[in-house]
Amino acid sequence: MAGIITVIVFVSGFSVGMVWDQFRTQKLQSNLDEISVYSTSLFLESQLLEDLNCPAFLPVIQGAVNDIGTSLDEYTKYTEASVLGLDAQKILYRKYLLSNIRYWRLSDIYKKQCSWNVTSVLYFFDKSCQQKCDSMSTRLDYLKRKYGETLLIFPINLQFAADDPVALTLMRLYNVTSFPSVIIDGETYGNLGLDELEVLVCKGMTC
Amino acid sequence: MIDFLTILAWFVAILSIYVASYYFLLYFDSVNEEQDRVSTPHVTIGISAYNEERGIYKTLQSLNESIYPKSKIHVVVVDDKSKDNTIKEVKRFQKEHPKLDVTLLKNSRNKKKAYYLNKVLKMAKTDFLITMDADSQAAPKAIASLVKYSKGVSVVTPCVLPSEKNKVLARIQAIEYIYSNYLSNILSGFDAQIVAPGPFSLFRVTDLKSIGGFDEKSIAEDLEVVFRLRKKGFKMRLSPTAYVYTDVPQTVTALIRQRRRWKAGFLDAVQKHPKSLEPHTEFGRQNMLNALYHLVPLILLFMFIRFAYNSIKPLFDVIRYVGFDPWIYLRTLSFSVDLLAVDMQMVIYTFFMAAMTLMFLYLASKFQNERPKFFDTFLFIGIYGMAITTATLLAIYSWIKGDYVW
Repeated sequence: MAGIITVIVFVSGFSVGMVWDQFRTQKLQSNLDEISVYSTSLFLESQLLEDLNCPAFLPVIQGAVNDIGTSLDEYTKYTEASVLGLDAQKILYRKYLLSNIRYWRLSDIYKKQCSWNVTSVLYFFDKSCQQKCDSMSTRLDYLKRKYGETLLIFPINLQFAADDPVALTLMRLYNVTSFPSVIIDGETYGNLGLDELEVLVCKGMTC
Repeated sequence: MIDFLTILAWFVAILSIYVASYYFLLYFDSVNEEQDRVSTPHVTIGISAYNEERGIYKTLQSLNESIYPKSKIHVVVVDDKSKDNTIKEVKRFQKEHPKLDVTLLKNSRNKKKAYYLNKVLKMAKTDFLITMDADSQAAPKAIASLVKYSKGVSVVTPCVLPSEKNKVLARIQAIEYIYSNYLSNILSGFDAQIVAPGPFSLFRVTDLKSIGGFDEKSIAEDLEVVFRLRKKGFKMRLSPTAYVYTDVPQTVTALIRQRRRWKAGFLDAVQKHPKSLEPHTEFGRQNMLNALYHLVPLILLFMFIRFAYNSIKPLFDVIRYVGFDPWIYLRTLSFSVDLLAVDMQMVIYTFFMAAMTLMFLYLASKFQNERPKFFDTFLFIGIYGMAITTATLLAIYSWIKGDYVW
C-alpha cells in the first residue's frame, strides 16, 4: 500500500512537472516568437530601406539584443530544471539561434551604415571543449561586464545546433573547425587570452 | 535536462515518500492495547554512574517519589570509578532516604555500561530489571506503568522526554523525542520497536539472562540487546503512560557525538545480526528501512558537494582566467527572481513530505499532550536534519573504519 501511495505521489509530481515544463516551454516559445518576428521585421526594414534612420533604430536594436540575451538566460534556467527531452530543447534552441544570427547580421549592417560604436562577437562552443570553453566564456563574460552594451556577444552552442544548416553554413563560411572559436570583424580566432581578446574587441570600437 | 544529480534527488524523494506513507499507514493499523496487570512484583533498578554528582541525587529522588511500593524496589548504583563526588551524593541520599533500598557498588576500574548492567543482572533476584541512566528521572507512575505492560513480553519501554527545555536545541530535541515516542507506540502495536532506551527500560530477568545479558563489546547495548532478544522470539512493548525525563545534549557538537554513537551502534548491531534485516517481520522491515535510510545522508553529501562545486566554480574560473577584479562583477551584480525556473516536481515532493511530517507531529503532540512552538517545529523540520545527517555520515565513516568510540 505504501508503495502504491509512493507511486501515486511520484507520478503526480512528475505529471505536474511535465505540465509546468510545457507551460515554461510555451512561455519561452512565445518570447522567442516575438523576438523572431521583431528581428525579421527589423531585418527586412534594413534590406528595404536604402538609408536607415540611425538615431531612431539604434536604441531599438540595442533593446532587442538585450531581450535576446535575457531570452537565452531563461532558456538556460528552464532547461536545467526541465524534464523535457533533448530533442524538444534542441528545437527551442534552434529558434533562439536563428533570431540570434539575424541580430548578429543586423548589428553588422547598423555598424557599417550608422557608425555604431559596437563590436559584435560570434562565439562558437560545444560540450566537448570543456575547460577551453570555460575559459573563453569567462573572458567574454568579463569583457561584456566591462564594456556593457558596446560589446555584443552572440553565442552558438553546437551541442544543440549541430544539425542546424545556418550554424553549419556559418562554420563553413568562417572556417570554424574547433571549439571555442570567435568571429570578430569577419576574422576567426581560436582560444584567446584576455589581453588578446580585449585588443581585438577594442579594435572595432572606442574602448 | 535529467542528469545524475536529478536522478539521485528523485531517489531520496521516492524513499522519503515511501517511508512517510509507510508510517502513515501503520498509524491506522497499530493498536497498542492497554494492559490490566495490577500486581506489583519486586523490581531491581540498575544505574551505572560515572561522574554524575550533578544528577545522581535527583535520579534517586525521582525513584523515591515513585508511587510504586518502596518495599518492592531495590536500587543498585554501580559507580564507574568516578573522579567527582558521585559516591558522596549516593551516600547522602542513602542517609536521607533510608526507606528506599539503595545498594552502592564501587568499581576499581572504569568499564563499559554493559559490564555494570550485567553485574546488576547477576545480582538481581527479582522478576524484573529496570536499567536506568544516572542523568534521568522517572515520573512517579513510571515503574508501575512499565510493570502494567509487562504481561507476556520481555521488554517494556517508556516515553522518553528531555528533562529541561530551556534552550532551543533542547526544545528541538523534545520535538524529536515526541515524534520518536509516538512512532514507538505505533511500532509497539506490531512488536517492532528496535531499541530499549537506556534512560529507563524494563527487562524480564529470566529472558535477559537466557541470552547472556548485555553485549559488553557493543557501543549501543540498549539496541543490540533487542536484536538478540528478538532472535529468540521474545516480545517487546511500549508503555504510553510511563514517562522518563533525561538530560539531552546542550550543544550541537555533543548532539552529533551522541547520534553518531547511536547510529554507529545500529550499523554495528545490523552487521552482527544480518538476519535482523529480513523483511518478513515488521521488526525486520523497520531495520531494513532504517539501514536503507543511512544511504540518504551519503547521497545528500554528494549532492551538496556537487552543488557547492558548481556554485564556486565560476568564481574560481574568473580568478583563473581573468584575474582578481571584483569591482567589475560588483558593479554589474544583478538579482532576478524567475518563478518559472522553479522545479515544481521537487516542490510537490517536499510539500508532501513536510505535510506528512507536520501531520505526524500533530498526532504525536496530541498523544503526549505536548504543544511544541511553531518556531521550534520549523527548526526541527528545516535545520535539525543537518546535525543528524552529519552524525549519520560520521557513523558510517566509523563503521567502515571499524573504529567505534564510546
